[in-house]
This record gives sequence, C-alpha cells and structure tokens, in this order.
Amino acid sequence: MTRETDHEPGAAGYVAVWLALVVLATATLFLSRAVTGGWGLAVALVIASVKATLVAAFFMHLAHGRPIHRIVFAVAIGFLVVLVIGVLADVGTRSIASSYVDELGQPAPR
Amino acid sequence: MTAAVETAAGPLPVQYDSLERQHATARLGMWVFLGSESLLFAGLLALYAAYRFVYPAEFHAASAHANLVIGTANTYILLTSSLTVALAIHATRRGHRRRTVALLVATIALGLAFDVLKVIEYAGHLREGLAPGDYYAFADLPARGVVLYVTLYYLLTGLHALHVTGGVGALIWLAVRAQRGAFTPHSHVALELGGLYWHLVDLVWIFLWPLLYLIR
Amino acid sequence: MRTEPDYLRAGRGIRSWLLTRDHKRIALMFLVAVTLALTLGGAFAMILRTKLLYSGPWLIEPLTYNRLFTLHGVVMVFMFMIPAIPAVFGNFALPMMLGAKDLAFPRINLASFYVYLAGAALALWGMIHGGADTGWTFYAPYSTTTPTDVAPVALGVFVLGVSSIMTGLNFIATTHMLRRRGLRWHDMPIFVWAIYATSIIQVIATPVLGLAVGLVAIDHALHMGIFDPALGGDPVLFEHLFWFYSHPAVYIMILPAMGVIAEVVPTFAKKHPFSYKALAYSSLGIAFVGFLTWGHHLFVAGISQFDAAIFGVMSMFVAIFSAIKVFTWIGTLYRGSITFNTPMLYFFAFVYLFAFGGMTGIAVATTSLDVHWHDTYFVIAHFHFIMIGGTLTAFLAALHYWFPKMFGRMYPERWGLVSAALVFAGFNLTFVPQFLLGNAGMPRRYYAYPDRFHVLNVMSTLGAYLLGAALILTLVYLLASLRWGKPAPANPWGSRGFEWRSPSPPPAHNFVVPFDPAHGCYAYDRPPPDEAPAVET
Repeated sequence: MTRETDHEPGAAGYVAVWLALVVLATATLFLSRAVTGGWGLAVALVIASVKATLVAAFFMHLAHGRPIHRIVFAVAIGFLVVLVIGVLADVGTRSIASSYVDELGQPAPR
Repeated sequence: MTAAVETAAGPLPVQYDSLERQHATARLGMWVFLGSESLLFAGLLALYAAYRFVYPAEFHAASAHANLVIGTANTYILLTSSLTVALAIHATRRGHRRRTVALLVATIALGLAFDVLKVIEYAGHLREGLAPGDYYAFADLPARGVVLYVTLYYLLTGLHALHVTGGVGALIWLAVRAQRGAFTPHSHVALELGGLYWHLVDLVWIFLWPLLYLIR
Repeated sequence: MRTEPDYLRAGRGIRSWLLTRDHKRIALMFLVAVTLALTLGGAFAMILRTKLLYSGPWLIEPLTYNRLFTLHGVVMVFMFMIPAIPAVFGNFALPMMLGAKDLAFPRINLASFYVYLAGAALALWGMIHGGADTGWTFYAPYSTTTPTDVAPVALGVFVLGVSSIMTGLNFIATTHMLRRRGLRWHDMPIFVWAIYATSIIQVIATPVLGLAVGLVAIDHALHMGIFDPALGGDPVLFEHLFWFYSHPAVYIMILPAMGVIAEVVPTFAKKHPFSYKALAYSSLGIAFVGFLTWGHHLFVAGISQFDAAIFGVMSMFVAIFSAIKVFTWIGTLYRGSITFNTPMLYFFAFVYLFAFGGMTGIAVATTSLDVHWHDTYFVIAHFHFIMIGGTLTAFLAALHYWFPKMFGRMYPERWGLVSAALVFAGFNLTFVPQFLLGNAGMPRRYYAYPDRFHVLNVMSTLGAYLLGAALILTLVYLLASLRWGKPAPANPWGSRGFEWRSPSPPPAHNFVVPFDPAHGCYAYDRPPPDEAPAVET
C-alpha cells in the first residue's frame, strides 16, 4: 500500500468530513443573510476556505500524502492570489493614486 | 538492454522500475494538472474581483435574481458527490467491486443532476432576458455594470459546468472499467486520478457559490 | 560494437516516427516544426523590413502590413520561441541527463506534438482566411471589434498553449520521479534546473493566457462585452490577464536558453560552474519573481500610479537573478581552458547581447522613462535583443552542441564560425538602429514614418537581410552535415555531462549501460569517463 492509504480516513471519516461540509454550507447560507456587505464577503470566503481545506486535506489526501502534492497545490493557489491582488491593486487604487483616471478608466474630475 | 519489469497488469513502461513509482508519478502529474486548471479559473476570478469592486451595488442587485434554490441544491449535490467518489475508491481498496461501481454510478448521477439543474437554471434566466453581453434584455435593471455580473456568471458557471461534464464522462469510463474488474485493491490509480479531478470540480464550486449567489 | 540500433534506425517507416513514444524522435519532429515556424516568422519579418525601406506607401497595403506584424508575432512567439528549446532540447536531453529511459508520460509527449500542430494549423488557417490585424497582443477593445478574423488565430494560440502545458507537466513529473538511483537534485545538470523552472511557468501561466485569448475569441464572435466600456467593462483588465502570462512567457523563452549556456560554458572552458547553486537557484528565482512584474507592460495603459510603482520595483528585482547568472558564467571562464568553437562563439554573442538587452529592460522598467519609450522601436529593439540575441543564439548554440549526439555527425566547424559571426553582425545591424529610432520617437507597428528616420530604417533592413542569409547558411550546412558530416564519436567535446555517456546517436533507450552519477556532471578536474561501453552483456 502507499504511504497515503496507511493514513487515509476510513468510511466513517469520509462521512464525518461530509457532515462538516454540509454544516458549513448551511452556516454560510444563514450567515449570508445576517452579515452583509464587505464583512459578508469576508465571512463567506473564510468559510469557503475552510470547506476547501477539508476537501483537499481529507478527500484529496493532501493531509497525509506526499509533501510535493501540498507544495504544488499551494504554489498554484499562491499565484492565483497574486493575479487577483495585482488586478485589485490597480482597480482599487485608481481613484486614489491616479490623477488622470477613476476606477473605470474614465477621466477623473480634477 | 534490460527487459521491462513484468507486473500482474502486464509489462511496465520501460522508464519505470516499479508499479509503485509509476503510480506515484501519475498522482504527481495529476496534481500538477489540477494546479494548472486552477489558474484557468483565476483569470475569471480576477475579473470578478475587479468588477465587483467597481460595481458593488450593481452586483448586489443582479445577484438577487440568481436562482438561490438551484445554486444551493447544486452545492449540496457536489459536496455529496465528493463523498460518494471518495467512498468508491475506499471500496476498491477493500476489494468490493460491486460497491465501487454503485458508488461511482451515484457520483455520476449527482454530476448529471448538477448539469440538468444548470440547464434549467440557464433556461430560466434566458427567458427573463438575463443574457450575457449584447444579448442582455432584462427590463428591471439597466445594463451598465449589471451585465458584467451576468456575463461573469455565465462564464464562471459555464466553464465549471464544462469541467463537471468532462468529469462525468471520465467517471462513466471508470465505472465501466471497474465493472469489468480492472481495479484491484493494490492497483487502481486511474480511479484515484478521476477522484482527484472530481474533488477539484467540487472545490471550484465551493467558491463560486458564495461569490455568485450569496451577495448581500 | 553495439547490439541494438540507434534511435534513428530502430523501427523503420513513417508510422514508427508518427506514432513513436521515444522522446528523442519527438524532439526531432519538434525540431522540424519549430524550424519551419522560424522560417515562416522570418519571412514575414523580411517582408515588413522590405516595406520599411521606404517611408511612404509601397509594396503592400497598410492592412496587409498590420496582418503581417500580427502574424510575425504570433508565429515567432507561440510557434518558435516558447516551444523551441524545451520541446526540442528539453525533450532530447532531459531524460538522458537524469539517466532515465524516457519521460514520465511518453504518450502525453507525443500528444503534445500533435496538439502543437493542431494549434499551428488553426492559427495559420485564420491567417490565410482573413488574418488578424490586432498585433500578437490582441488588445481589447480593438480585438473584439475588428472585422478581421481574430477567433481562429486566438483559438490557435489557445491550443498551442495546451501543448506547452503538456510539455511542462511532463518535465516536472520526470524531474521529480525518474532521476536514476544516486542522482539527487544537486547532482542534476543545470540545464535540468532551467527546464524545471521553465516548466513551472508553463503550467501556471499558460492557462491564464488561454482564458484571455479565449475571452477575446468569444467576445469577437458573440459580443459578450466583458471588456466593453459601453457595458461598464474595462479593456485594461484584458491587458492584466494577457500580460500575467506573457511576461512570465518571456522567461519561458530565456530560462531554457540560460540552461543551454550553463552546459556549453563548462564544456568548452573545461571547468566546473563557478557556483552550481547560484545557477540552479537563480533559475527558480527568475521563475517566481517573474510572475510579479507583468504590470510594466501597462504603465501607460491607465493603471493606477500606485500599481505601476509596485510593478516597476518588482521588475528591477528580477534582473538580479539574471545578473547572478551572467557573472557566474563569466566566473566559470576564469582559469578555464577555452575552446573557441561554434557553440562557444554563440555564447559570447549571447552574453553580450543578453546583457545589453537586459539592461535596456531595466531602462524601460523605469516608469518615468517608459512613458517616452512605450510603443516605440526602443521596446522592439529591447525584446529582440533578448529573443534573438538571447534565445535564438542559445538555440543555435544548443543545435551545434548536441548535433553530434542527436545525429551522429559533426558539422563543419569553419562554416559554423563564419555563420555565427554573420548572425551576430546581421543582428546588430538590424536592431541597434532600432534603439536609436525608438528613442527618436518612431512608433512601432506603424506602416509609414517621417522621412528623417529613413537612413536608420534602411540600415535595419539591410541588417535583417544579412541576418536572414546567415540563418539560411546555417540551415544549409547543418542539413548537408546530416548526410556528409564526419561520423561523430560518443563525446566529441570531452564533456563530463551525463548525456555524453552514451553512443552518438544513442540507442532507443538512451544508455547501453547505466552511467555512474558519482562526481557529478561538471568534474573537469578529473579525466573524462570512459567512452560509451561496447557490447552489453
């Protein structure tokens, strides 16, 4: 057997992870009504990240598999974040940091 | 020239000296592929982030017309399908061929249900005039900004649904092979790879659901 | 004596080539394909330069001119520069350098070749059918509204990207999993580190390009309007997505070239690299930091000055790793015993042109200066210094260096030296005037120009003819050598590299007897390992 299968969750473990995912999804649904605006987005993304971590760690065996799998996945997600941040750093600061254009690239009022 | 290594499943490709190494290489290859596919969605997510930042009110107003019932149902469907495919692989490791096939069929059914619900959802939106780009014809909301949400909605969920459909195809092929007894407790790497791909499809939806359906 | 035929002769007939899984045969098929691409892209360039002999209208219509520079870019970037060194020399040498009998996924390797052909065919069909006139950068909103045929060209680029991802994935898996026993990461040839770093960029960055050109194709055909200002969209976002790939893409083009240099210099200086770790880690440094710099292509596009400042600073950082490499190569020469043959001559051309081109890169990375140089011939000269002066010279170095191993023949050294000198001369005559033109304000992609730029344009065109002739000369004597070249020994250069411990050409599974990786592949203080062993037991 592989290193992974020695430590993988049994059937009960998988069901437990699934239950956690269902609970978290339901929580997201209710919290989305309670917490709105920017905080609502943050809460939703945090819970989504927890769910994603559960899926990746237990269903995809990242938690007990080879380290290189974790590195590959982390690097990919890291660059995804770099792209989003790079774009937001532009769009988000145009009205502050540009004399010439606003967020939409329209000539800014001076 | 040394002969290729013989295994129960036939000779190994010549560059491998053990079945275990070949399987480990296949798993690594799949993880690299999954990393790559994540970047495919990254561009759309960057567009989403930029446009939502610039048009918060329009995104909020537009997403109120998203089909929360179908979106949420699809979330539970995909989460459950991840469970069934994980249990299918678990069953193979225990040598339960019939259980494996049954669980794979369940996964396929859930995946198809996702696709069917998506089609119903799209049809509903298009009837209302919630169409992308130049075809936007929704009377209640002016196009500017709103149509960007709508177009991104179709692009994100459409790209995702393509991946779901591809995954369903792969799972059907795996189920047929499982039925024919191709997988043993010690050798079922194709099944593992299919499972990994399916979990990625679930992962993407875990983020798409709050981003598209739960804007408040 | 050997008991099995070499890889060129193992298996006869066209099917044994078209359906091969042998990484060396796939490498040769890619070599033919990228050479054709280089020739086609070069032909477009010759037509463009000929038009530019005169400042006003002549020879071709403006629309044709726009199509030609678009297709010159698409063909050169996606059909030559990106695949050339990895898919030819990476394919050929990487498994041998690791002591492996093939890549991790040979069928994916073969598929990557056919996907490349499909993408090339699609783009070329679009070219003939109505030819895009957007420039290879496909900027919105013009790319989504132009009446020319953008979709097939854009989709062709998408498919070519898929081929690139397949190649990168294969190399990553092979490097991790198929190193022979006893070969640790720090025993690997530097070329493998370079290809590995390149492969990371390929698998991470290319999907974003695929999405960007895919959106343009969809938008052009179906009017989705995701970048349309009338619907609230922002065309600059396309540029963000496009350059998020296309800047790391230039590192896909240069890292393998640097890897080639890292093999050529120790061999012909008969000395180990000045610092193995510097060369290995700087490759990873370029790959990672290169992802953080894309906004310098958007300095005058309308991004915020805050974002521009960040990207300007990051663009300076990535140059540090290139500098580390240049100094390490020079340091390797110190106290070496240098042979001045063709690959080494191409190295000297490389280091001069790359350093010069790299420094002009620092110049245009300076935001306030780029305002003046953006979209002028200064930028064109800068990137051609890197792409031709860097990647193409390294490609030619690699071709000459590994020619004996790949084909079992030697090329004529004197012709090699003459061609290398002519390539260098032709290149400089073509592109140094372009720095001056750009600095004087001549815009790029313009059909006509003010008369005061006439002399420099004529010089540049004559240089282009010389460069083209030199490359044709190279092709001719190399083709002739396939037939009439002297039979090559296993290790004509006395290299300590692992790939030289096999016959020339190698057998289908690379080594008659597995080599011993002890002492590494740069042990020039020791005598060369035995010639490829004779009969295997």
